[in-house]
Amino acid sequence: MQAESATLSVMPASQVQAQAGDLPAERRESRLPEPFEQLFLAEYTRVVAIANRVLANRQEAEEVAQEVFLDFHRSHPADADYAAPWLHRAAWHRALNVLRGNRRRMTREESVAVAESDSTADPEGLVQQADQQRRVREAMRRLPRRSAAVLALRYSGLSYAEVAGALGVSVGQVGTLLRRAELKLRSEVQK
Amino acid sequence: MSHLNDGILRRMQDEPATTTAVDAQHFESCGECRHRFDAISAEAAGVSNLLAVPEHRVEPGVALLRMRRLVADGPASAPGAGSWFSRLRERRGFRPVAAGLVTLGLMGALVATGVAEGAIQSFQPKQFVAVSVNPESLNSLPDLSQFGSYKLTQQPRFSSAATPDAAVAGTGLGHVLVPSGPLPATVTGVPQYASFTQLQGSFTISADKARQYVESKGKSLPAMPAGVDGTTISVTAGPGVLTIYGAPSLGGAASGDTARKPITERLAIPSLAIVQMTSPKVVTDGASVQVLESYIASLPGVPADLAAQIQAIGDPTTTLPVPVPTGQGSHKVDVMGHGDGLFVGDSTGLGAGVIWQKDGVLYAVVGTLNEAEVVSVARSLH
Repeated sequence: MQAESATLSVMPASQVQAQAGDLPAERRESRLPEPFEQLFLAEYTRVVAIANRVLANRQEAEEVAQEVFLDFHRSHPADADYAAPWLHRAAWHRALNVLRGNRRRMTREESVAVAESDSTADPEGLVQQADQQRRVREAMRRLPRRSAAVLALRYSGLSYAEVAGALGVSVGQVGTLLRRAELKLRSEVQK
Repeated sequence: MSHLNDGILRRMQDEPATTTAVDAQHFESCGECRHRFDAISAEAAGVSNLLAVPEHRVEPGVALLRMRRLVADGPASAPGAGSWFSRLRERRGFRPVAAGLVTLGLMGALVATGVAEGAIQSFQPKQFVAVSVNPESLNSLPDLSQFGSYKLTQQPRFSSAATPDAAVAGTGLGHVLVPSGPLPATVTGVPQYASFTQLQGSFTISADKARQYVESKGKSLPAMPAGVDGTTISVTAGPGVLTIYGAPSLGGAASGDTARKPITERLAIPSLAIVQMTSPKVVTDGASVQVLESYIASLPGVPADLAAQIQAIGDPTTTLPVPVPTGQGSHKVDVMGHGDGLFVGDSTGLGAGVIWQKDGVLYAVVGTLNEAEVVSVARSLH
């Protein structure tokens, strides 16, 4: 399986504070509760990765992640023991909703995304990559939600135990769900 | 030993360290399992290529600064507080509508208990029937909550949960039905799960309070038949599980563009809610319920057509009237495997719901959806 491709770059809380200190006074927002900030720094990259695995769009994935954390901050205590699985679940769910509501943006933005990923590739190769991205996202949109979810969660780097926590199933079920989802995805892409 | 299943073989590829000694021993000695493992691994590699996305750098520290700004700019609300229901409850117009619904509910309960003749009468709904109500008449209906005293002996406690399984734990419901297949496009937001404990309460009719209330409205209370004064109606409902999509409304703050958000998000109304609870049970004592029924129908402010509809219910021991605003459609629907349900709503997508009962559990699916969508969600529950 491919390892998570998003580059991890967790900035220490002290560095965040330093950056905040460099901002103009009107931009220096007060800190959020410490447990929430720790949760944010620990989980943000993975939440973005899950959303990006569904959307294949960096900007939208980060927007989804911000909304997910905002939802969580407003409705749940940061030290809840279910915080991480909740965030992971929310990430794929919201990303899938965005994907299903965004048929129109296919092709153009994904072409740009592919081009960004490899500016030295030949134009024909880029077109083929963009076409594959489009077919995969269409297939993800048609998959049953749970199948799309297990693919997004596992292929963004979550362990089987973490996938189980996010889906609310036993760890023993994840392998079977993943295998079925992979077969469905291949079938849908080939249609 | 039988062959290893696909799920175990799939996990062996990703997390070989978790393979049990027994499975590993079988794998080493089984050519067929090794062959299937190779095939599964090759297919997984193919899927990995399909799902590959362009790499990009994620900077949580920078994102955290943005999050602080979003929180500072967003609507004031304390973390973990301000549920969609509490905001709805604060909306203007909620109180009179709620009072009207309480009145209708009490009337329905009284009528539904009306057939039994014993001193203690009880009922539990097994089916539902629509009762057409003109929304304008809600304000003119007598507020029956003013006809006596409430006693909430057990208030339901709501607890949020991360997963359906966590929500159902302790409710005795066994299994939470969740939608399978795609949800309607207008259903936005992540699902939130909550469990609630059983509600227990009673209402005791008081002739004195009823008289004071009716007279405060400038009307006179019809003479109360013998035995009505002091009759107690006891209700238990739940426990249950609530699944809500599309609440609370937070998306606008993140995108900075609330105008494009669905109306439900802007108003903090869930786009879809699924309720699963132990069916409510009503027990009454005191006056014959037929007497209560006739008396309520005679109260000033109760439209004659409404009273007639309730009294016309075929099997009141098992049928609960569901108030349906005039102009909304309602009819029986087949909830595919769950039995017959009652659909209430229209085709505009402004609001619709399906309610049904099976094996002592009441289910309801409601949302800002049209009929096809809400019925589809109900049928997809598994």
